[in-house]
Parts: sequence; structure tokens; C-alpha cells
Amino acid sequence: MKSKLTIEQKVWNYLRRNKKFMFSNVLLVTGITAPKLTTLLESYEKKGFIERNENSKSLMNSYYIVIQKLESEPRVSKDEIKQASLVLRPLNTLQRKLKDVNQTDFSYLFKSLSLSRGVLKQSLIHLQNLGVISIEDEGKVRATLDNSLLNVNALKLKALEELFKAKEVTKIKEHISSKKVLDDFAQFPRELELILETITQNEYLKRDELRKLSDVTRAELKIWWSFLKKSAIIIDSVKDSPNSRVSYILSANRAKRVLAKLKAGAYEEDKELKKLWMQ
Amino acid sequence: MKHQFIETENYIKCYEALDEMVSLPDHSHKMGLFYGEFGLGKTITLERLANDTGAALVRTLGGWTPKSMLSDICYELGVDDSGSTATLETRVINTLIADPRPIIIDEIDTILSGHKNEMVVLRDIHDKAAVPIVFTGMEQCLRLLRRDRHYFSRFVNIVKITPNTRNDIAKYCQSAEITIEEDLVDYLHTKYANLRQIKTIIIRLERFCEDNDLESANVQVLKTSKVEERNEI
Repeated sequence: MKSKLTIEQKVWNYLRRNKKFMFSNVLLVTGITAPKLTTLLESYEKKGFIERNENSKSLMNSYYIVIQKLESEPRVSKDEIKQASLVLRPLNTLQRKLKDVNQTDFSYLFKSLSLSRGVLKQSLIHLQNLGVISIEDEGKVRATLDNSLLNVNALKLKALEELFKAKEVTKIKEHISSKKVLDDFAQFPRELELILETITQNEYLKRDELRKLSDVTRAELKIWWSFLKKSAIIIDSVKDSPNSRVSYILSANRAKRVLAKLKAGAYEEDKELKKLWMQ
Repeated sequence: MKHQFIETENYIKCYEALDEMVSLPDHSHKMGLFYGEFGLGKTITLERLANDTGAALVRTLGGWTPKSMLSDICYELGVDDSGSTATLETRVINTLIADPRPIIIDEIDTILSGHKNEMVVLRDIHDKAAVPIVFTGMEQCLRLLRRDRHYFSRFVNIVKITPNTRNDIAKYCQSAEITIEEDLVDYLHTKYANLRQIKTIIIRLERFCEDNDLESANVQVLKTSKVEERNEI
């Protein structure tokens, strides 16, 4: 008895039934992922079908109102979702392939890809705009790709790969539409850098204060919390009064040293950073 | 806390009942009733059920007439919702014959207390299109429907929505970012009937554990955190 509807149709049906709805309820009912739902709702908002309540505190608790009578079929045939998949899917395929090939020999790569020439050409132009590749023919993609010579910027390719892994569809789309060159891939996670930089300036903080000053989410701080302890950046904890929250005594010197090691490539060598743990 | 739907025992019972009704032959009766007290998650269960099975879900309104009900069903089925009552009824029946889908009518209490004309129309749709129609409502629905024996004879599945079991709550607690220990699962099961209340407590507990560097929570942590007290303000 399983429904044969697509996930977009399921979301659309939910919206038709609920003139006022909450983001998290759509997730619960339809089983769609949060990034995909964000993209869908953004596109419906742009088309004027729905409106987001501006007082919403967080994404999960955000409320939307349906402001138009919705037809039975979702209006997605020519919208951003489809366009995005037309652009992003081949781009993802291509960026995955680029890692494995010799920088000067691409002819066999093009033949091995199941992309049409038009799509491939478009994807190469996007990669060129993102700074991931440069093409040796006065910067133009050749009509015939068989003999094209491409140079790959490994750090930008890695940055693009990370964006795909993190399903940062909106960010990739923004870069493509604004033709903005990607930043080089940071050798270690940006949030860890932000946390450590905050600690270099503040040696006595509550966990929430550290999070806010570092501009990272609770989940991001949680990932690095045990590392901060193991690397002895968190020295001790105290409670100002029995009912207050725990404050942590942090070592700015130790944070500086760890940051230097990370910038020297420690994260690339070992993702768990075991060498930086203090026994 | 992860946002994911928990297949509770109530959901499984409802799904199985609807699945069985769909597979019944055309000449059998296919009406069902899911009923239970408020706050047990009936509506979200039905939304999910409609999503998973492709059923048409319609919620009753106090001001419903047979025509406005048919108009709402047409809207849900994605067909033109204009015309006379008879036209709409024929359109609904023809649509369901061509593309059979179960129909779920939520909050049936609203129309059971009135003249019941809507119930007659629904019976016609059920008899002519041979699709399952499931009614949902509060405890008294069963009693009200039983009074009309002729109508009630069409009901093949009646599911009582019961409070969440310990197993449901244990499943729900697995969505938390901290480990909820067994004694706390028992405590939540005994004290709270509603998953929405439990969700609020778990979210607050997660924050408390994060601030106090704890990986798991038990009843003692819950009491120390005083997160329940904020519920009573």
C-alpha cells in the first residue's frame, strides 16, 4: 500500500492540507531531509505560494503560511529544484572524477562520463567560474573537448567536494549564480579555528558563551568538546554558585599552540588529532 | 534532538488496519474507525498515514454541509471543486473509481452531533466507489456510531488509540542527543502521556547536559536540572 508519490508531491500535498504549518512537522510527516525541504520551501516562497513568519526563532520551529490556493500538482517543473539538479548533478559527477585524473590528460575522462557535450561544457564553465579549473586556451572552453588541457586547483576542488558532502546546495548555487570564486579548502575545520581563536582571547567562559563568541552551533561545539579536553585546552571547571552553570578555565597559550600545529597540517595527517592530546 | 517520525504502536495498528481494508475485495464493506482521547498524537499519525499510503485526508469543520464536505474532498483529490452537490458527489465517486484511494475523515465528532447528512453522502461514496473510508475522533464516536446499526455494520476495523507504550517512549528517547537511561524512560512513561511534553523535557535536558558536561541523563539528573518545574509555571 506504499504511496508512489514523489517527495516533492508529498510536501506539496501537506502544504495544500495545512494552510499554516511548521517546518519540523513537514519533516516528521513527509520524511524529507532538512536541506531539501529548505530548498523546496525557498523556491515556493520565491514563487509567492507561501510566506515565512519572520518572528520564527529557529529553522525547525519556523512557521509558514500558505498564501495562495495551491493546485494539485506542485509547480516545480521549471523551478529552481529542477534547474539545480540539472546544474549540480553533473557538476558533482565531474568534481568527483577530477580528483582521480592526471592534470593534463582529460580526454579519456570526458569519454568515461555519461554527460552530454552541452552539459559537460556548461559544468566546465561553472567549475572555471568557481576557480576549480583553469583552461589553457585563452580561458575558453573549447567546442571540442577531446584535447582540452585543464589545470585543477586542488584546494578549491577540495572545497567544492566538502560543500557537496555537507549538502550545502544553497551555497553552491549562490557561488554559481554570482560567479564567485570558491575560497581555498581550509586545512582543518573552520569551526575549530573559530573556537580556538575565541579561547586565545578569553580564558574563563561558560559553554554557551564560548559558542556565541565563536559563532558556532551547539552541535559544532559538541563535536570538538572532547578534543578541547583531551588537548588540555580546558583546564578546569568551576561553579560560581550552586545554581549557576559551569564555567570553564581555558588555556589561551595551549589554544595558540594547537592552532599553530593545525595550520601546519596536523589535521590533514590525522583527523582525530591524537598527536595533540595530552597524556 | 533529531526530528524524525517514530513509528509508534498506534501508528503500526492504524497502518495495518488500513492496509487490510485496502486489500479487501470490492464487494466487502471497508469502513474503519480510529478513536481515542485527545493528546495521543492522532492527527500527526493520520498525516503520516496519508503521506505513506496516498490516502486523501480531510478534516471536518463545524460549518460543513454535504456540499462543502464534497468540495473539500474534491480539493484533496485534486479535481474541480465547483458545481452542485450532486455533480460534486458524482465527480468524487468517478475519480475514486478511476484512481482508488482511501479517504480519512478526521475529527468526525463534529458531524456526528449534527443532522448526519454528511455521513449519508460518505456512505454513498463508500458503497459506489468501493474505497476504504476511515473516520477518526474521540472516545464517544464509537458510542454514537453504534446507535445506527445499519451504518455501523459497514465497519470492519475499529482501532482504539491508546497512550504511548514504554516501548514507544524508549524509541522516542533514542532520537535524543544524549543517552536517556532506563530509569528515566520509565519515569517519563509513567508521568507523561504525550510525546510533545516529553520532547520539551528532552530538549531542555539536552541543554542542561551540555552546560554541565554530561553525556547521559537519568531521573536524578532530571530532578537536579529542574526542567520539569518550568512546565508548571
